[in-house]
Amino acid sequence: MPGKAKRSEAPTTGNTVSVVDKANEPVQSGRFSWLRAGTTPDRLQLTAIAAVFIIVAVGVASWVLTDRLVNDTTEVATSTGEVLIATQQISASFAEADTAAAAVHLAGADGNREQRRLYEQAMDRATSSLEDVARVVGDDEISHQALQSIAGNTTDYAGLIDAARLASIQDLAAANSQLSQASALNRNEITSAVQQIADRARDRFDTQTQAPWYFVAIIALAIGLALLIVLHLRLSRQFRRVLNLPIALAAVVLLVMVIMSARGFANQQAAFNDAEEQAFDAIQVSEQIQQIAYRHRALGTSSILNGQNISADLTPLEDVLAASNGLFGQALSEASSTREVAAAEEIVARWDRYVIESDKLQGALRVDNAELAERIAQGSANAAFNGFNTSVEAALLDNREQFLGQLQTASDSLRWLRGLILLGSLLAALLTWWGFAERIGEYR
Amino acid sequence: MNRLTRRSFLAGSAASAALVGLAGCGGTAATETVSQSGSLRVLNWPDYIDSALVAQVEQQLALGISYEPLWDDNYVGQDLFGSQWDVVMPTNWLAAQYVQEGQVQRLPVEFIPNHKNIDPVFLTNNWDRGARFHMPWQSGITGIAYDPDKTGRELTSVADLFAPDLKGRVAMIGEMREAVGLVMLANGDDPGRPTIDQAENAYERILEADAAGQFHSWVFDDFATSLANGDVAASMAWSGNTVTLQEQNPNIKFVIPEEGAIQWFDTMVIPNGASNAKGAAEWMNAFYDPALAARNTEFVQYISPVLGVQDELRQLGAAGRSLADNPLLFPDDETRRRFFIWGGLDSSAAEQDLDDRFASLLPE
Repeated sequence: MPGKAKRSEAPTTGNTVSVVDKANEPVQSGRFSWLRAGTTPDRLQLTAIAAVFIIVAVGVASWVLTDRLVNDTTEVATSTGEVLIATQQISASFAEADTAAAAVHLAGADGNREQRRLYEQAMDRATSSLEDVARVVGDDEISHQALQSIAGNTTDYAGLIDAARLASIQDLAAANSQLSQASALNRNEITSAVQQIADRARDRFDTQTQAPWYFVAIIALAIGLALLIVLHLRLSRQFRRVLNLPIALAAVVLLVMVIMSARGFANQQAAFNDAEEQAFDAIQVSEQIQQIAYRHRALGTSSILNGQNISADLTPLEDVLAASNGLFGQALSEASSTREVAAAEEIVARWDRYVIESDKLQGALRVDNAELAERIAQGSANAAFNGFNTSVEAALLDNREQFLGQLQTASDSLRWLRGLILLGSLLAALLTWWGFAERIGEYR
Repeated sequence: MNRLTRRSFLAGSAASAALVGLAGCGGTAATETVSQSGSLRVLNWPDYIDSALVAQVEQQLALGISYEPLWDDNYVGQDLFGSQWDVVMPTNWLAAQYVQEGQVQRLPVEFIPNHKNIDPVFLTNNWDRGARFHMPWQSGITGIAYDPDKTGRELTSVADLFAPDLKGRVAMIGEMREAVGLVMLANGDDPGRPTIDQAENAYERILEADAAGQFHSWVFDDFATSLANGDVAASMAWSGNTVTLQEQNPNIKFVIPEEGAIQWFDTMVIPNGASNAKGAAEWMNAFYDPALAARNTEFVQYISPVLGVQDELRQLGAAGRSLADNPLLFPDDETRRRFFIWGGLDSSAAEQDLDDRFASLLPE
């Protein structure tokens, strides 16, 4: 029988078999006897259990945080972002419908079928966007209530527009009143309900996209990694081996997890930033431009109905758009590519054309030539405004696609992270246990 | 001057459907990358450009241009959506299909500063608001041309094509969207936003009149010959060909029916596989320069979709001034409000089915 090795001594070579002197071991009993482990294998076993426990705990904590991050990001991409876009589409569609309805009204009963078609198409888009919001808004009760309110008001709005169209054949005053009621319904009730949904979506967007708490997950993983490095160094020293392969592999796995989670998070945040700075800000500016333009057009239409020149009311609106620090300048500065710059420049060029026609229209009213003013409104001003509006719409469509695309990129950047954290943690724990088991086995 | 024969085609709309089907196999979604290799390959309708302008643009862009006047809406030639063509010019309804199916690229507008010169009337199509995927080439009106000596009266309405006194002396254009669209107007419907029921009603009306011998023939650009020869007294007609016909026979009249007329346009698109999308964009930009576009209008005599062409034409001498004052090329606002661009049925399958049944009315 070979001589006994001292229990406290490390094996001198890799081939040495440790033999535990069971007779000399202290008697251990009771619930916490493992805490009083005295032998090297017991201490190693205890350390292994603690290390595995810590790694599992780190993994669980990271997985929980990653799960929340992925869920929030997915919700931004599939719900919150779409709600934000769809609510803007609803506002724009109602404003366009209102403008087209006024133009139809101006032309008399069914006198301008192109504008009638534009009105119907705008209402179709508004309805479709409402359905989109209802589909993706989730279980937000307040948003659903607002949607119900919009749906009811949309029916009333369309009814008033239709009634105005029919009334205009016989009773122009009544028709004017109904058109005004419809516009007021749009401006007050519908717009505020849409804004309510948009505001709530914006709040969710901010909450879901800002995730500084995720650093906790990365730090936890880094702590796990540091622990494994320390353990590896200690085992190397204790067993005089440079490498404990399983624990080294476990450290590599954790290192990969740290890198991948940091990289995924950074990519997600970068994609969100791009979505906001390159697309959403541009969307908001374009939407403001559109709203100001619709207001300008609506005032122009009213001026014809009232037979009054309102140039003084229109100029401030034009300044909001075209002044050196106006919305057009902002749109150009928000443009993030030469293509977007080109689109913004086209918007400005088409607005300038519309303003020329609007000036002609107001000029006709100034000299009490209502017939000429109406002809301009129905003809060249109408065409110029449609050109402007569709160019804004085209830019908005591009920006909306860009926005949703970048949200999807954010979501994609985290696609494998949840699974990686789960499997990586388990693998690291198993490898750690294996690494300790090897050394314990050497003792036994 | 070489006159256009824009529509010397119709091999059968099934071929068009096959083309769309093939295209659907090879295409991808609109891409943001802008290819720019090799010469520029342009596929257009026959006699639809002043060839001197091709040479001028070639020099201006310092780009080799291969220009082929072989297109029609049933083009089933070589690989359209592969890499063979950079610009093709389908009619609006077919372009709408291409856009909806993702067969064509988003226009790289950064190379098309003249995109702002598109007439707004072409920007409100529901299938491509703001013209992000297409740029109209030329546009025309489908109305009624007639010889007053043969009709014995003025024609003012689509209903006149169905009048008993003209039985057997009317030619109809064999393009479904124009014929059905025009009759929809007579029925009080809007072809800019057609429903299946409305289109079917119009088709039935055509079918019944055809069975009753109301129509002498189904025609395309040969309607002008039929009118000139006196084979028919009246015909559905294209404005551009009628302008040409009137130069030879001033007695012929073209009328925008009181119910309205169908406006169509052929439009430039960039297939997904184009290897020189940048060149395609520069070509489009060149032809949206009002001065160049005016010279092409002088040749093709259709409605230009380019703002500013009327003013440019006035600077091209007496012939140009005459065209600038021609209401068929530059209709006033009042008239333009009576133009309707086919909006497409909600169901493309239903539209294809109607197209097929309509095609069966035409002689082999």
